[in-house]
Amino acid sequence: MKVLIVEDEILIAEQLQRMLKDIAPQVEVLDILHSVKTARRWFMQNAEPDLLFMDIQLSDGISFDLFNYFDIKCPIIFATAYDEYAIKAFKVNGIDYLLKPIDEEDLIRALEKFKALQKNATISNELLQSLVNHPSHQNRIYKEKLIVQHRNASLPIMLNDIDVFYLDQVIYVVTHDGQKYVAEQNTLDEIEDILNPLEFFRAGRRQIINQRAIESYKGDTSGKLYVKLKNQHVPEVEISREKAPVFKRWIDR
Amino acid sequence: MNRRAKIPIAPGKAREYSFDIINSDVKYQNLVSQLNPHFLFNSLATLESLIHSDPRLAVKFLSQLTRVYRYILSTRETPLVALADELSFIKDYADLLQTRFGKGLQIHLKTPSSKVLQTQIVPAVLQILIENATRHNITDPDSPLCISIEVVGYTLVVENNLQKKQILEAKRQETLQSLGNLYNYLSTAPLTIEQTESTFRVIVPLLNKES
Repeated sequence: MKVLIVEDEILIAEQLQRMLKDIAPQVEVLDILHSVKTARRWFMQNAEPDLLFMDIQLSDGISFDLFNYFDIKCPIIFATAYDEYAIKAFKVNGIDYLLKPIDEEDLIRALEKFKALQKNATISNELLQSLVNHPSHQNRIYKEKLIVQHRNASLPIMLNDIDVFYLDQVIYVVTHDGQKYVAEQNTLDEIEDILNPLEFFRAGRRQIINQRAIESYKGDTSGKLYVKLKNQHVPEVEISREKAPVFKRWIDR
Repeated sequence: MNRRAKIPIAPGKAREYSFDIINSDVKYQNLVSQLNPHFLFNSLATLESLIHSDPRLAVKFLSQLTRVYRYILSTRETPLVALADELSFIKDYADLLQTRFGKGLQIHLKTPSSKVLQTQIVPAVLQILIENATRHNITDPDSPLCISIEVVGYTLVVENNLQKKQILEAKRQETLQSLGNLYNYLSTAPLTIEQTESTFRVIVPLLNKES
């Protein structure tokens, strides 16, 4: 279990580290960070820890500030000397709130809470996996073609050749060779229903993109992603902060 | 407020005060000089750590913490104390903070002449000023907060570099404002605040005891 400590008073951080070592030897303290500045640098360079211990008032600002820069998903145990900011702490995935000097019993209880949450998370992940791998999903046969209207005739196009579906009053279909058609369907939801979710990704309210069409993607400090497609006719597709982790899991299979 | 106040060549006079008149403000002063709970609990957490890592320093830290609290308690009803007492208190207080903040905080204190040491000052005023500075400014080893305490004429000049940080705004009355009001009651010389872009300076008048 990998733990990160964000605490501006080094002696207090060291004591927490000692206590963790005593009561939970499996814990590995990755780092002790004393300021918002060093914590920001750390989160830019490292993957999230399993668990984060964090003070609120740091030597150069307030630790909540980190959440303006990063979409921190790991559970957090806040530790403060004395204060009334518990409510805000729980808004940002705080699972417990300890008062300093930290009581050993309280720390043990907080770690148990963390383990219980982790177990639940594992169960729901397993559930999700079993649903995804369910025979009815695995054996589903997806359509290969989409019929669009073109010059008063029906034109079948291969789904594989479609780079992007986008909504702009009607649903446009842009193929790999740069052709643009109007789909018969009225909503992207209807389109999404017929597509293989392993091949296509709903990037937001207005676009569905084909994984084969993706050239590259990059993030910004707010956590949004910008996806560049190989097709020169299609502008960059923006993916919201909330959807960014889902996209990353989808593309990295 | 860039202009530096004229340096007084004689101590300010303590006004005749009656507890009735200043009662409410003295009470307020007690309120501010009751050390902030953050200070207490962070000090206790530090002490816990030192007990494990450096028992000798833990004992020293505990003695200093004890003396700090004893001073605060014993001066609660006292409008003025000798500067000598305030300075020996503030050495303990500064040492405690130094142990906690390490290189993030530097406090320079110049001991004045024995004549000046007999002048009077509001108890814990230096503690309030130091706490105020650490509360509002970055105390990071990369950019330390430097506080200097120096006697200039018959004033005590407390100065720090300004490097404000974002703080959790507890609902507190303006501490410095209250100190200013208190000095208006207690002395003929005012407490003044001078601020530039890079420094923050409070000039505390030193007073003569009522005869």
